[in-house]
Amino acid sequence: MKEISENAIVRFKNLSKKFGDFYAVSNVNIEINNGEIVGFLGPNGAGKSTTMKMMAYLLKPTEGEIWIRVNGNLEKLSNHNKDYLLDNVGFLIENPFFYGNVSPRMILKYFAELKGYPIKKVNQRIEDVIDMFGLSDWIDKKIKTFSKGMRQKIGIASAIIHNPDIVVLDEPTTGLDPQARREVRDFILKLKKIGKTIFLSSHLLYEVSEVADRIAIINRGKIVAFDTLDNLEAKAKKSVIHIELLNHPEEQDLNNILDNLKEILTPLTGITKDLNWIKYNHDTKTFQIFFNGDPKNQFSILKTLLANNFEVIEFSVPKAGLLENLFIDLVSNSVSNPSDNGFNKIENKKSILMEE
Amino acid sequence: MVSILKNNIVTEQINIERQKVGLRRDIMQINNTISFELKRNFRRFIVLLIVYAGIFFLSLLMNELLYDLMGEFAPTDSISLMQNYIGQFFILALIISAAMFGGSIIAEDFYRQTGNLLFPKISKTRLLVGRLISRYILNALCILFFYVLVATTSFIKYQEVDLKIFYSIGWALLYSFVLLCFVSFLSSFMKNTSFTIITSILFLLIVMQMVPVILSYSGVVENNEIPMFFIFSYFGNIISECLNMPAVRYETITHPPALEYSQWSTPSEFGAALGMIIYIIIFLTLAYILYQRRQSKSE
Repeated sequence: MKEISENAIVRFKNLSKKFGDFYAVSNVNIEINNGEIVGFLGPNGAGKSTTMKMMAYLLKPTEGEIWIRVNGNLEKLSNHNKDYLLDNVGFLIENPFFYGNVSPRMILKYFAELKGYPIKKVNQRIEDVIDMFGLSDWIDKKIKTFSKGMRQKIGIASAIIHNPDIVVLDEPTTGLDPQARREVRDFILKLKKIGKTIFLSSHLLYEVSEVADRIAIINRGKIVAFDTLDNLEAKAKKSVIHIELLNHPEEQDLNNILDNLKEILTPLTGITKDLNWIKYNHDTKTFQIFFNGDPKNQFSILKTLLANNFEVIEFSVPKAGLLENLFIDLVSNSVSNPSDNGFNKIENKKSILMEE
Repeated sequence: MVSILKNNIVTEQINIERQKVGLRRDIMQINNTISFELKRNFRRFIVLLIVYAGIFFLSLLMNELLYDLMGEFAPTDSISLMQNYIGQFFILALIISAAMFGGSIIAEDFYRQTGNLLFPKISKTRLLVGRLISRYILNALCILFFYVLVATTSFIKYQEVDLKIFYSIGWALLYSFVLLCFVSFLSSFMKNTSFTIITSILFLLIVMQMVPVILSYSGVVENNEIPMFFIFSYFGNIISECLNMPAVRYETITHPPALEYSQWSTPSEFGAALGMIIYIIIFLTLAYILYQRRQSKSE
């Protein structure tokens, strides 16, 4: 393993967790730097939650170490110093469920005091954090009257109420509607702005790629990639263009348009002929064109579309598309390895990835 | 400039507080949990005060309005009045309040998944200790409330309150802790709060009452000559019997024409104290072990 960066605030070193004969997490090495957002991506059962629970000291690693920086010193997490080190970490483990008959002020006060926040400053801190989430009018209302999105905000507030430097969010948008998901993503970016380091797990590519500086992809307990989004995209070399036309095609014209697009665009995608695909998404009313990810090919496709009188009103390459392909490639590779067992097939994973 | 200075002061205070680890952290978190749980269970506490008041009025009804029908059992002085009030329905109130306060002590966090928020902010051990203490405080306040009502009645009727009432209070407080530990033990493996409450009430009211009767008739223990230390509800008898010590501990009850059986009416003071402490240790140890091993749905 390379030398520890001076900027590293969390480090997983050869971290493994074994249940019986099964390695849920195997030899994970991740270094998280101060102030960055690291996305932890993988399908269900890949080992994300197990890793996070080891960090929270809810599970003890079978092998390896976790190091956390507090007051400038990087220290190894152990039973002896877990209180002290974990005071600098705020956790939100999956969906938060609250006692219905308490108010945000009451529960946040309890959590802040548990983590040693100065008693005289607690009330001010609660008001500041609640204000940051735009819930000041609800601070003394019973949580049972809150919507799911509001509860999730209180969950994130509970993770940062004691002012930790590191915030660990495990699947923070699971079960939320699109509006609430967007709000949670905005809060994650807001936390980064105020200097927090965020370790965010998800099985949704879109969610992670929207906010993360670096992404660790885990599958079958092993880290299969850990890099910046740009580098991962460069590795992927393939992507999907989303096109929306001024007039949405009628059902009877759709096949003709698709044939026409295939004829004029296939030579421009940079993909071998048998792997090419162009399809229409009825939900988003967009055409999707698979190409090699090269900006030159992207430009040629746009030029050709315009030259052929397609009234293009949107032409975009969502970043998640790139990552999705890379993810599927990486996961496919590990699925094809006969030594691995006990995991879902790639088709299942694809459907999970498309959830967003 | 001022806000930077303020932030630095807060950060410094946070760092000082975070140095409190080990025993100091244990005490701090237990203390925080007690305070939080007292507030959170306040409504339940009010409901149980009403239950205790109801039980008191039921006893009042029996002892005052049905006074003539009670014959030899009718109270004639402060001691017999207290014995009647405490011996009649008070045990029922103790069982209900222990079930209500203890039913949710562990099961709730697993059923409602509130544990996802609590851990790792606090360890299971500290949480359990804090909850037990806070709920025991509320339970004890309910019990004291009942005794205040009984003492007031005694004072109004006989212009005296026998000081033996304090013995009874002491035994009631100890026995209520045994019950709370028993319900906590049930809560450590049962699915949800409601199920724990119902099961514990039924178990304490029916099973525990039936065992001595079954033993008596079955002949397994001849004439019930062995004190029933193996039935922990037996220790509850001392709460009222202590007012009449040295009480008749082993008695033969005859219901004409043909029903006659023997039973132990109360343990000795030493036996009660020792027995209850042993049961507390057993129930708490089991509850703790099961709680530590129990995993939430998401784990």
